[in-house]
Amino acid sequence: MTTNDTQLRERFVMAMDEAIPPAPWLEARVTEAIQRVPRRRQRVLGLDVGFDFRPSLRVAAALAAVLIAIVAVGALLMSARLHTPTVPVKRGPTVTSPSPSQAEVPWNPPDSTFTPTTVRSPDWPPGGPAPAALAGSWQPQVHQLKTGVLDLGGYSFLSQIIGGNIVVNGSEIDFIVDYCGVDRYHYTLTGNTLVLVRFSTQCGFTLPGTYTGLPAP
Amino acid sequence: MSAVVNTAQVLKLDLVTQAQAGDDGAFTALLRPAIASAYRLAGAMLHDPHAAEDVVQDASLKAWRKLGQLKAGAELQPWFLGIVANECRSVRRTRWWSVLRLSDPEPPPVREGDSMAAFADLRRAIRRLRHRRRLLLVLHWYLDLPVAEVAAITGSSEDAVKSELSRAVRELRRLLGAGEA
Repeated sequence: MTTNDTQLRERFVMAMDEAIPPAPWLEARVTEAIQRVPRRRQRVLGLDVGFDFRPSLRVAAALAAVLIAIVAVGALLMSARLHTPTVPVKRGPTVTSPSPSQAEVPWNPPDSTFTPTTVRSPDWPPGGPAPAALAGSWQPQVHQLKTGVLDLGGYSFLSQIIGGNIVVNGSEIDFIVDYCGVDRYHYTLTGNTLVLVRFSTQCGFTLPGTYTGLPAP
Repeated sequence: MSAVVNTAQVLKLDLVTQAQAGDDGAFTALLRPAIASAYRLAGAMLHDPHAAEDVVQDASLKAWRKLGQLKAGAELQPWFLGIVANECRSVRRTRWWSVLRLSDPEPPPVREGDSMAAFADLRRAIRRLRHRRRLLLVLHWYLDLPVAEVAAITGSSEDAVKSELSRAVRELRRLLGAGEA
């Protein structure tokens, strides 16, 4: 180091000293902070690694946790959507039932006992209740996702995804859901086989297909 | 004398073991001698005493959490000063700091005299040095650390530190000359 360097170094130290006032309280401040935050010890596979994971790993773990939470919530929502009606049942004045229990449940929620109503609303399209040949449970011949067994009876229907009312007029069967409208089908009944062909829809449900009648329980 | 040194080393190693086992008292006993140097380092790097205090506190907590990374038999001070240097770099990298600090005028000298004005020029020149060069000068000149320890803190070889120090001094002189011109 030259004399010039030594002089510059002295000036350097003085310049720094002038700009940095003493902080005698810092030691106590640091000690207090350390005592306030106990060091978390981490164990991995039973071994004490003695330090926190790197920030990048913590971020990755947090992202993974968020992802898992989103998947879990999504799965729950999907499950709920598959097992409950997508829209709450509206208890409109158009359906009148002979008993209080039927009035509270105009159509049967999925997985419950199917109880057809025999009361017709004047707002529905023309037609009568399901004829005896149509009444009963119908199993889709080809597996139709969500549709499941279709129950028909009186002025009611119930499938795995939706329930509501029906009116039958000749070869036409109308599926009425009070919150969305009417889906209109032609049906043909040959022996134990029911074929539904939709020709008009307001609700867009997937009911068309070929069904096989199930024996009455 | 040798026995005393050995005893001190054994005690220090024992403290490290205790601290790594989660004993905050042992950790603060180890850290205490390094706090003043850490504050001077942060102050010289940031030119802001309050920010320097914050950096030392943050670095202390970080060291406490990461104490398991301290290699067996290694000294705490160089490792801790390395953390402080990294914290200073992080602070300086943040945009708000750059904007705020670069626009900061040099505070007026407390005392009158030509030497005070010269110090202000010198500080201005130091601030214009690149982080690494400033760090080497602060560690070697201001903290009076030997080249070997500077090398340990910065993770470089001693030869690299020496040559970089020479370049830092040359650049500082050039900046001072430019300021005076």
